[in-house]
Amino acid sequence: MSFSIDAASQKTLLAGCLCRGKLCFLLTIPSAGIMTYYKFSGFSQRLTGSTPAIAYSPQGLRPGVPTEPPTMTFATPTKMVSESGAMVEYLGMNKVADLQRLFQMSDGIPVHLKRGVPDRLLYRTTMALTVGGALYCLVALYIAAQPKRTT
Amino acid sequence: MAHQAHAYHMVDPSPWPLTGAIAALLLTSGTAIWFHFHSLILVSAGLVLLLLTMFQWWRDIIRESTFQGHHTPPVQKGLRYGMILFITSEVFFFLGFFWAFYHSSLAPTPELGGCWPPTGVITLDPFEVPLLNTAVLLASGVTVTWAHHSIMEGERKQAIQSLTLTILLGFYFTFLQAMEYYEAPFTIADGVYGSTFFVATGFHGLHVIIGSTFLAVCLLRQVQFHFTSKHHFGFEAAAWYWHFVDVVWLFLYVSIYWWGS
Repeated sequence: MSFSIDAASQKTLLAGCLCRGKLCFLLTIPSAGIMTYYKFSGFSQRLTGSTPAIAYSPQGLRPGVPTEPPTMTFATPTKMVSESGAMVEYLGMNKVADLQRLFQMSDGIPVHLKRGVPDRLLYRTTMALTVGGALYCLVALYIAAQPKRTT
Repeated sequence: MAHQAHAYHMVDPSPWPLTGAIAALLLTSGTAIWFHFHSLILVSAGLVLLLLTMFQWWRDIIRESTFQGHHTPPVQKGLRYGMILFITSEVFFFLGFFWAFYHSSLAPTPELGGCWPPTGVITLDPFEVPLLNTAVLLASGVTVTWAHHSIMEGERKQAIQSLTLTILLGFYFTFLQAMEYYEAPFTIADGVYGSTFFVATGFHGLHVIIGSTFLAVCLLRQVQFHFTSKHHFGFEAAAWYWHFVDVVWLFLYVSIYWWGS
């Protein structure tokens, strides 16, 4: 894949190729004789410097970055990982799709309580310890602040 | 679930910041109460509350990412920056200990005998267990990379096996360090050598334990099909952390164990 852009002020030739799973660009400005190499950085999601060796030696055509913008989370109905249900594989079944169905239910329950009774038990234990511990702590600190008088 | 026209994650109201803050209060106050009144109740309650908070908070993050799909590419980018900043802060944490070590060892005071290691301190042989530890950690760096490539290639079985191997190597390192501490001919109370040695290697050991736990959680998640070949940032963060722990060990080995002996 290669293409050129005729900029208003300067002629810029932009050649792109897919190499090593990354998209690489060769940007040349013929009048100035400068050749700069770019590649698409998977981390920063923008063009960064590259070397001629990478730009000139394509190794496969697997794109390293998605060509489409990311789909909005809830703009379209969420796709399940597997529509065919749980499958038996190495070390157990894939229950991700079922759990996705469970946790994506629109019931207004916050995420920390969404699994029902076990979640509520754990949450209430934690909150009881939080409130009880805070009160006990205040009492302990109050007692610690009243040292025995030596005189 | 309400419709939203952007890719960012709007979190549900969560109790965990509150419970975590109270856990910190109980732990700190509990330590003071323990030291003054020999009562372990408050510090134990703080520890249990902290563990409960950590479990449920991170469990919710797995729910939000794997099951609810909130970790879109822009959200993942934020997580990456967050992890990078966290590891950077850890680098500076260890830099402080290296500073203390070099401050003491490069110009040893007359009280130490004007030499390093200080007069009377018998050091550990760097070419015995510490060298084996170096090899173990470097090997675990290889196996964690093997696990990463297996996840990216969708090789489920290999990913599970290589991740298990990485965790076992982490445990082996911890075991060897525990043996080394037990056999060490000096203690944390033996002047600046003992304190810099045990504080630096002790905090490193704590980080190895944390890293092993992080990788163990990743192994459980890998077994439960949470990672896809394109989206597995939880694992990547654990691998970054593991490499960081590995690099800190190399500096510890070269500085404290080898040059410092």
